[in-house]
Amino acid sequence: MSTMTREPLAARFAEVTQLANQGDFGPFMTLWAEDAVWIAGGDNPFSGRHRGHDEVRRWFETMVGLGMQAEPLDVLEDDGHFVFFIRLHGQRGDKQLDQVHADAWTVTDGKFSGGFFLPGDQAAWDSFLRD
Amino acid sequence: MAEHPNVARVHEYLATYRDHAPEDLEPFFADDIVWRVGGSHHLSGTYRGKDEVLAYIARSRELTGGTLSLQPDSILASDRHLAMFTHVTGERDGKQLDANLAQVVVLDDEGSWKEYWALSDNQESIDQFWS
Repeated sequence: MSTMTREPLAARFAEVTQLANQGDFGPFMTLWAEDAVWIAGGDNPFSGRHRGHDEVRRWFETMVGLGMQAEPLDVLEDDGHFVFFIRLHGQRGDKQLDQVHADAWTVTDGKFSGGFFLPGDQAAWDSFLRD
Repeated sequence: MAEHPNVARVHEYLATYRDHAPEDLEPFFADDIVWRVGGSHHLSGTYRGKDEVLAYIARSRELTGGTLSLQPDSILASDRHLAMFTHVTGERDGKQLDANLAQVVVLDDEGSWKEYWALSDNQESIDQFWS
């Protein structure tokens, strides 16, 4: 078990997430295994299990579409795992969001095979996303 | 790649969790620690400060007759964050807990745990176990 920063996966991740934030999700999806499972925490319309490229892509496109600002904080990586800490800022109507989240992936053969979206404050995250 | 010193610190935490009384975990925590337990069971919620967190850990241990076990699959660390991929098992009133967890921690300037939250790959089973 070890920690590395800015190793190849981290560098690729930074590059493709920048493109995804501009609406180009193709490079981002190359990081994912075809049968990847993405588990989003909370109790809101976007929480739960998202299986395969189409569902994973739709989830991230939706999040980007909410117009939140993302401030990268830290990247942790070893041979089989990748964790990204991020501060999210957002506004929906009169609701504001400002909290630390973590994305945690299992990496198999160089691709994300499974992952967790961990909102730092589940209740605040749920409240922000509910209409 | 050298292992970050905070990885060893997490191993110390897990050994203390396994072999000692909950109050012996106190040195790992910041005075103002915020510990969030997701899901929708009667232990879900936000625990603030060492006393509440230690009481939560003691309660979870009591409810499982000391069978609650955390086996690390991977531990990642930096100066500011920890991430643990763990396999959690336990027994309670004839019910079995068997799930994978992603756990993340924000550290303060002294390396103490300041914020903790987690997400399971099978939240429904965890809710049923604790309910």
